[in-house]
Amino acid sequence: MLRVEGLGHHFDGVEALAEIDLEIAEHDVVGLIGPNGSGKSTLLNMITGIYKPSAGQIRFRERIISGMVPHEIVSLGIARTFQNLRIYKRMTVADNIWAAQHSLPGVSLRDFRSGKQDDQIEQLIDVVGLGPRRDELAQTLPLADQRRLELARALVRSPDLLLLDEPAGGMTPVETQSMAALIRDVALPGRTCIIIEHKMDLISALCGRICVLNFGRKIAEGPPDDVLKHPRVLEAYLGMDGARHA
Amino acid sequence: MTDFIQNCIDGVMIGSGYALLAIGFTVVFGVLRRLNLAYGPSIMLGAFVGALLYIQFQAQLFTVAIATVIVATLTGMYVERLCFWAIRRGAALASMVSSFAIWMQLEEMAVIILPERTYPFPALTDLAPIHIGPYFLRSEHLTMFVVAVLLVIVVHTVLYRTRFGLAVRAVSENPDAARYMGINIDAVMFWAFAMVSAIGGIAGFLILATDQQVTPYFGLWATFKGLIAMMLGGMGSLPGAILGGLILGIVETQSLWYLGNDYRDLSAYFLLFLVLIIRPGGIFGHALSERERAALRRV
Amino acid sequence: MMDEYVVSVISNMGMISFLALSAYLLLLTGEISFGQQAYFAISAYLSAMATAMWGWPLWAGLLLGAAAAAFAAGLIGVLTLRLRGLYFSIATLAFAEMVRLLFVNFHYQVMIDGEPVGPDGAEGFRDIRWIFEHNVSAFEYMAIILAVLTVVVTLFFIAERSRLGSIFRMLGEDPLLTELQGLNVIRYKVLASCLSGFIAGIGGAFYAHFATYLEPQIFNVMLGVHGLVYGLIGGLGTALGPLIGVALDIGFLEAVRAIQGYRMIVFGGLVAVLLIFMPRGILDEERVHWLRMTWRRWRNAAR
Repeated sequence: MLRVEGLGHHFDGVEALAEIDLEIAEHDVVGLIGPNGSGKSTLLNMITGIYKPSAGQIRFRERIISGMVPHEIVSLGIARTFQNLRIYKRMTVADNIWAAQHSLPGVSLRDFRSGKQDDQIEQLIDVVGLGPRRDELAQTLPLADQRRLELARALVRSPDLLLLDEPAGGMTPVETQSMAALIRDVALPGRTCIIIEHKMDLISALCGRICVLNFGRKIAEGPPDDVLKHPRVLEAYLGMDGARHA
Repeated sequence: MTDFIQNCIDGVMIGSGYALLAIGFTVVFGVLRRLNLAYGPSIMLGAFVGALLYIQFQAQLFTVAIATVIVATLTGMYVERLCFWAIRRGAALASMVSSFAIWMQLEEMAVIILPERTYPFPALTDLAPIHIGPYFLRSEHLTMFVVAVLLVIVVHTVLYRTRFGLAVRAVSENPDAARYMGINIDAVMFWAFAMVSAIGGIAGFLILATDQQVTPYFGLWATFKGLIAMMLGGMGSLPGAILGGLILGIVETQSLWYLGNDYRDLSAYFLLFLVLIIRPGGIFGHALSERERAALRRV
Repeated sequence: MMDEYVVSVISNMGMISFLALSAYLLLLTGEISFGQQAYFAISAYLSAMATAMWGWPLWAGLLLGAAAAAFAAGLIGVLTLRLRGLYFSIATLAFAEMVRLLFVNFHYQVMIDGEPVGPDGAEGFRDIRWIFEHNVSAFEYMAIILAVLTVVVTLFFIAERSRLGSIFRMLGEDPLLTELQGLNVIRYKVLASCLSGFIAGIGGAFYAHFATYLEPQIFNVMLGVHGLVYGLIGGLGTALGPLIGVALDIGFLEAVRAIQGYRMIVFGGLVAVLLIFMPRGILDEERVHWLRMTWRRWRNAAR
């Protein structure tokens, strides 16, 4: 479904990504890990068209998307969340989710809100557990709920490819488990997914395959058990000495 | 050709005054990431008090200068406390609009102090113009230029050779990091503002003493000149402010000469608009970095 | 009947409200425009030329003026697409001053009944007498202004709860996120620009015929800044916000005779203090939301 070929990106002289090759088939759930600054978010930014590659290309369903504008790419069926959490803080939970589906064809310019309930949206709000808070301003929600809201917004348009950037960022272990369950039960079924995370338990639980980046390059890829014991991966996270003692 | 060069000379002289005004904007922007729109009017208030002393009490040139600078500085401090210190974090729009509001206040205050349209301002010097070959330099212009150069040297020294200057640069670079290093940000911002207001006061005094008159339009005028010069050179850049001021001065004098009075200001705005559309970072500033471009692109 | 002074004040409030609403619309999309007075001016001049020089009826002149203003605004919207924040604001400022200075140099007159009529640069444009020649009383004119204003405000309310209004606010809060929702941000930015120009244009046309005299000096930065400030202090949560700002300055403060002549000092100080505690105005999004919820609760309880 998604093919990244020889992707590279330069940033003010820094090589953020280099020679990235990645192939993701339909319904794969791929984890993307690596130390801070290894280029994980940059990769997502490039898939969604925020950055243009300086080398290589990205194909979505065999179609080259790496030169396209973000709103076009997203309309092909890709959605994402952000590492530093992006939602509309000045809108209510319900409005946030309603607003996420504005671009769908058939939602006309003059659609009124006036009490009309869209069942699908209401279901989604309940499914992520935000039912009781649907009329609160997003900025008043605790972090964990804001992340759920962000996830719900990404799901509204039933994307085929879902990109999650640290969906459990800032959460306690209990909240993380809850989020992992939510992703597993609601987000993953029938969908292809790339998940960036630092929390290995979440990655191991959800992902069939992990890809590891370090300094913008891929250093390992494979099933969780193999990758997490891979010497180069340990070296990347723990340093040379740490890897030797691990 | 002679005219062209003469205009360039005049332009550079006048531009030095603009450069000082631009420095005021650019330092405030560097430190606070905001524009102080009450800058021109603060200077004008100082000038009006100075003019009042001149008219009512026949004050000497130097006294008028001191009065202008002191009142401008005090007004600047008032603006800083009310519009920038009191409105913290993230409410950038509110700060700027607040400084607008104070601009309105100060304009009205100035008109109350001196209700007429135009007031005489003491002349900067009585010396005759200096001749160099086919060109001549007005002595007021030369005085303004020399003082401006001295001020720039002083500012540069303060910013790069004193601890205060170091603190200012640290806060401009990264306010949070500066705070964790133990720098009292509020104090730095306050004194940077005060310094900048004093410079503005001097600049205003020089410009008005050259024109020998002050009108209630001076506040707006000074704000515009400073803003345009700053934007031409690049927001937050000290050399940019200077270069921008000089370029503005030259563009103005040339268009005044070749196109006439009606088109002088128009050319300045047109140039500014052009620069913003083509190269928002300013002539001297960076062309937008990849990150900035990506963030701005199509959005 | 209402005394002339009151009618004049209310008419003023009405006309300025269009300017305030136009700045408000752009504020919603996250842009601070210092230049709405340019569109006010373009429409004022063009509509006045249409009625005073070409013999057009008022409504036609108004539409022409507002359309021209919308077009100019759209053009500026396109040119400034790459600019964010302060860069955008300064660009709008530069543009507005250019427009004003262009009018200072604009001379175009025709002879009507042996007299020259038309814009004469800095000397101004006199004798925009359509409403007098057609026996529209001051009161009737005020009513027209208020009627059109009501329509525009109603449209704002409708848009607020519809997709378009929601998209504008999304643009204002996080343009990148909005783009990643699949929305063509450029299109909406330019649309917002055009609409804001049109609205300012309506006000400008009304102003030209109310004042019967135009000069470039009127359309200065101060005018634009006032429009902007009204929206910001009245509140960015609803279209009533800018109207409140207008009422506060022109209505309330004007009425308090004691501060006659000190109005700007008081207003300026008031704005500065208010912005410390309410950076997004009196009726900001939070307060409007609270009001809406309270109303809903009250209504549910009453059942």
